[in-house]
Amino acid sequence: MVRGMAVQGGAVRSRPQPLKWRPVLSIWSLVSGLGLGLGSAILLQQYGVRVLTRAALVQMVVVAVVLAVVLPSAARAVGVRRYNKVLRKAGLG
Amino acid sequence: MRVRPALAGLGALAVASLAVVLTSTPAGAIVKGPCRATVNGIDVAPLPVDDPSNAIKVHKDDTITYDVTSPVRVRSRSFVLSFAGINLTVDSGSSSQRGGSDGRSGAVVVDDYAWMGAGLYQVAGVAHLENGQTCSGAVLIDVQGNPLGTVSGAVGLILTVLGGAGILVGTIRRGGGRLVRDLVDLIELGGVDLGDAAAGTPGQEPAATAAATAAGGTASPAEAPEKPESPETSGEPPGTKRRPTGPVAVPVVPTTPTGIAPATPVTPPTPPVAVGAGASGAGTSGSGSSGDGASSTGDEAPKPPPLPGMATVAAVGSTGKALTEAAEQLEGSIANLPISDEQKEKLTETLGIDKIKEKLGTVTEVTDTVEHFEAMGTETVDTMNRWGVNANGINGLLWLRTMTEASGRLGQKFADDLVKPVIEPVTEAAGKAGIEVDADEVAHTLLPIQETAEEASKALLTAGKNVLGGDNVLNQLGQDPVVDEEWRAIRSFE
Repeated sequence: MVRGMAVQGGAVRSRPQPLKWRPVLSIWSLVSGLGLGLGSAILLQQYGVRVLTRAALVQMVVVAVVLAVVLPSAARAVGVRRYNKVLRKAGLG
Repeated sequence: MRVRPALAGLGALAVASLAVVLTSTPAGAIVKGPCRATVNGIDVAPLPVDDPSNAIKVHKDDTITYDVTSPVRVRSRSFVLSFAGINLTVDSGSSSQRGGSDGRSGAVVVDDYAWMGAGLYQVAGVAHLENGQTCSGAVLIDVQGNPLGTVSGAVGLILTVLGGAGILVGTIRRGGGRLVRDLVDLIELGGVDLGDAAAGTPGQEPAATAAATAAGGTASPAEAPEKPESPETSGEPPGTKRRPTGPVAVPVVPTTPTGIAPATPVTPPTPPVAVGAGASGAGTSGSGSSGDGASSTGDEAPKPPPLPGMATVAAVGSTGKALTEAAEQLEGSIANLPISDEQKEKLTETLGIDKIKEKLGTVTEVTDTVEHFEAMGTETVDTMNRWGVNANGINGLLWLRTMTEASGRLGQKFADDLVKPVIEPVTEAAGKAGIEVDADEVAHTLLPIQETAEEASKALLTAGKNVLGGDNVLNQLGQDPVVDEEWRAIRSFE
């Protein structure tokens, strides 16, 4: 449901408001990033691309976790922007 | 928070993180002190310790010989194998003898230490000499082998696939932005009458719905009065973490003053935002036709068009198959040539027909896989859309089905690798006895992991239809969307 807008039985209780963006931080993303980092590090070692040192392991995990935050946040930003654009077009934002 | 600066900051963080990984330089070389070391007869002193191309290549069944010498006697020594920060001592000891030079040589069976299977291992050593000097050094050992044939390789692959899929699903589900629109083309804002939205009538629902859909969330008029939120306190797009029933985009249903929608006509639900489907027929039928929305079983309706790029995949696949047939014909023609078998073999080898067939086989296998998963995703999303399941439900089901089938395929390969070496001697013996048996087929028959996973995946879809199909009943009754209480009452037969 659109925030700020309450509709039941055709009654409009308030107007929808523009959204504000903020980064997406979820356990799901962090765990996925952790898995991706660990898995990638192991695969790189197994394929003989990179030595699996402790530093390399930490680097891979950090990069993957950062990606796990950045990608959903960027997608959210796009979504919020489009949402606000629709509201503006409708004269509601 | 403003979007652009914050997003730019996040982007910079990501780029910086990638740069850290990509620009990590080799640690230079390596034997320090007056000692000399060889591994398999190769002097390790000039070998960079972090450069995989300079690693000493061995096979898992090999035995490595090493030789370490120093000009003065060694007081103590320690050689360790490092893996992810864990050190496993290969050799250590001390000596109380005095005077003269010193040396130590021996042989190590790779399999005793390569407990992570194939890949790169770093072996480091430190020796304290009698004169107070210290020798230290390290060398990379590259254990050859099939990475996916090892437990750690399989674990790594599974973690990577699950992690990547998790991030992708999170990006689409939490973001719900351009990715979904571009790939699926389900969101059709052009069909929404925004003019009505500002009029303060029930016609405001479409604008709200469209905006909610645009932000990748869900919209449900029934729940808003219960959960008013302040835009200043939450950045969540609308509908996130809402009840799991009901379609994402709520159709315009004329309502009575009591809030109960008339039973007819029933407006089909706008399809929810989800991954893996082409444009649904419902997405273009927002004019209120009885269509294939709530009242349809979802099985007879026309299929949506394939995802963008699938035509290319199909073309590549058919080309690969045609080329494979051509290679087989060429092979047959060579077999019919009036030359000796030896010449035929040499000709076949020179033309590289076996390698060409192998590569083409890989291409067709990949395209078949892509087509299979595209069809599975489209079936899932299309069917669930017709049954009025919301976007989160669809994405969850799609993720489950994809993971189930991908795990099945991966497990099948892993099992084949394990079983085939056992079966091959039997099939070879059978071949000598005149019975043609294919080891791959036997392995598949004994352990049909892939087929089991595909059946499990189909069962998930069926379960989704059976469990969530109840929404349709209420849609057909005109009570759309249902509220949780109604839903619970239906389920508990109250």
